[in-house]
Amino acid sequence: MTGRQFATSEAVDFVIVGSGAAGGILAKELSVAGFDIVVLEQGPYRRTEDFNHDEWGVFFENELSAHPLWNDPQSFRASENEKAQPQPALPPALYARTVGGSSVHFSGNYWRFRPVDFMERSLYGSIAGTGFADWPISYQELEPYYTMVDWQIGVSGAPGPFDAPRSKPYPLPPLPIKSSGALLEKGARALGLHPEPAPLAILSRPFNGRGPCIHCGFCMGFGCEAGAKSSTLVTMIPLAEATGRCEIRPLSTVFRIETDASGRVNEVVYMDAEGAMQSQKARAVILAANGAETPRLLFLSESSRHPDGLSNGSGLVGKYLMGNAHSETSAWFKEPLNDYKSVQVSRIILDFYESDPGRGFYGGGAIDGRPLLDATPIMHAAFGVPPDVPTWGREFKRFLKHSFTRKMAAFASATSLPLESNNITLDPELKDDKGRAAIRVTYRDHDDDLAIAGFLQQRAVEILEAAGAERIWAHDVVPATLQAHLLGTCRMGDDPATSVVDRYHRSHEVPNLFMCDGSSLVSSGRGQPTMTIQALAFRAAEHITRFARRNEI
Amino acid sequence: MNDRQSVSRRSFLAQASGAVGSGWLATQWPLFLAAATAACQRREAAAGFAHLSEPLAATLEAVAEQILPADDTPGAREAGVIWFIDQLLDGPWADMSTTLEAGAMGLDNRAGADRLFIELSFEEQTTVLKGIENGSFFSTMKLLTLAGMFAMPERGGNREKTGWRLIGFVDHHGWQPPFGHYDAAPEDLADAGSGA
Repeated sequence: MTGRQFATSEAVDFVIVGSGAAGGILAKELSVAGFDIVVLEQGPYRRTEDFNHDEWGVFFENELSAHPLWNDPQSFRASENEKAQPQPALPPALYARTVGGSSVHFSGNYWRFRPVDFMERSLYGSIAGTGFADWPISYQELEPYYTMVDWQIGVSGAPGPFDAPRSKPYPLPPLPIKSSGALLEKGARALGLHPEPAPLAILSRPFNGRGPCIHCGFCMGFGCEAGAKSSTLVTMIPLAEATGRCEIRPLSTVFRIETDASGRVNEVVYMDAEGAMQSQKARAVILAANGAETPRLLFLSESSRHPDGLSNGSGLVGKYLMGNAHSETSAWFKEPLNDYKSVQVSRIILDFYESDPGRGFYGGGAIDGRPLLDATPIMHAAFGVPPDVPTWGREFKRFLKHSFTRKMAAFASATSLPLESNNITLDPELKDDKGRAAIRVTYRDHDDDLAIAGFLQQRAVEILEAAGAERIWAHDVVPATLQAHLLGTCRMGDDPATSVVDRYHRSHEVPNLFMCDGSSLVSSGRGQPTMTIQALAFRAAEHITRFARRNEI
Repeated sequence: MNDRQSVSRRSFLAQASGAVGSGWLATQWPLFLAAATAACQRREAAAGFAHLSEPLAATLEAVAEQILPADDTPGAREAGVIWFIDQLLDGPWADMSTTLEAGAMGLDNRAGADRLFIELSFEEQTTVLKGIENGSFFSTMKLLTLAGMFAMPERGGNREKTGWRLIGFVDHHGWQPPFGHYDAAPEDLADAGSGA
């Protein structure tokens, strides 16, 4: 339980907004370093023992992603010329609202970015109409922090043929291969590709006092009942609380960050679990609320001094939203795979990671084998049917009987180009039921994003054919209307005119305000950003500690 | 009033999006689970429904049975799908009952002047449903039937794991490898299939 409670009138060293992939690490690192921390988390404090296998609750009532106390709708439009429409069925910016954030419900795919990800603009030149840019930091600079993620969060994996240089091996061996992995591997090898065990933030062996994966299969979208998924809920937050200097305040929804006469942030206004407005005083504030909520909070914090939102002198807050392009290819095999068991992904193909100008478009990505949405029975029955099978009646039922255990997907994850026209803004009309302006998502994939997703799908079809699938069907590659990877909306850079935070995640405009989460990313990587978000958080914590100790905040 | 307009926004969007559920639903899991468990108890005690009228339940159950009919294995009726639907009409999903009532009434209208939908033969019911299969009532019923068949039994349906047994889902709390045919005996990979 919480080791310490602070009065709101007492200025703590840091208020951190968000307890997820980045916020959990920042809370742990800064409290261990001796600072007083209050973490404001809008979701409830669910524990490992609170998670369950209730597919209806998780996928159809969005138990983990809906706000448990109020309606917080979002709107979506494909272009700025359209009026955004409310999206009650599923939020277009999808994230978990719970202590530990989306690291609680993710699938735990943990590939590092490669050196190339940080310098593609220099390598390939500009791409017209995009904000394609180099990062202000290199892979080499981030490498020690990737290793901290491996060893402090707990990552299982094995060396692969394309690995970037690493200073330490994986702390844990890979999880066991599944049938989807064996088939992906077979097909890939037949084509001369190099499949490898998928690195996962899920324990294959006991580690740091936690038990290993029990292969229950309720993984993607679910909280882990075994505590084996390496969420910040079970890795970082207990360590933060154990310092006695960190208070996690759940069900606390932030309304705005206030600035004083000198332009520094000094308190965070939020609604508490009882519905009362509170204001927590702070010497510094770190927003780690995710790539949709962080820009939203900056916009909500507008003032006469910051009429376009806090820290938005560049006009880039909320812009360059990147979500990672995807494509999905389904297949049946003759014998049961039982891919509903264990983790999502056991094998991955990284041969197509780098962009190849010879393809005629920018982009790269990976293909993995997994059940995807067919890991659980209702989702399979509702969405796993190929287009020529009836969706009700005797034939449908025969299909379900045959298909559930025999199906897999080859799933491609790819690059996403940064466009100013893809962004998070406040909806001018839609509000949550406490009056805060709703998140408006404006998004259409760049044509190159769709091209790389389609290219990887063609490879996926070839792989599944080579694996001997009885039936293969490719799902149309269409512009995404829903993102679970929320990247780029407060991008990092050295130039205040073209970025929102500096290379240490400090706002270019407000010296005691930091943004550190998916919003910091300059480019999208190839589809699995959480490990990089966490490496950035470890690195940010180290620099923020240094600044604070020198009174440079 | 056309069928679409009559549907609650939530249930319509849950279908129309091709996605699932209600993103901004204020869910209180233990509360719902308590309601669902009560539905199981009523089901087993053959007590009455908590929310559905008997005639409405009979019509909806017939529709569910069309979606997942009994053949050599049990269908939606035997799986207790209607009890899942009944427990769902509580709290945040309550406004769905308008959709279901209007849809059931529409089926009776389509059954003819002198008969109710449930009085039609199985084949006649199939024909009637084919006439509305693209409408939102039927879409809602498809989702509810699948959910009632395959959601955890504590939710009210999937009696004795009928749905799970149908598709080969085994709810062991954990597993150890091998998980399936192709990871059990990699040398058998040559038998993966006949080729696409």
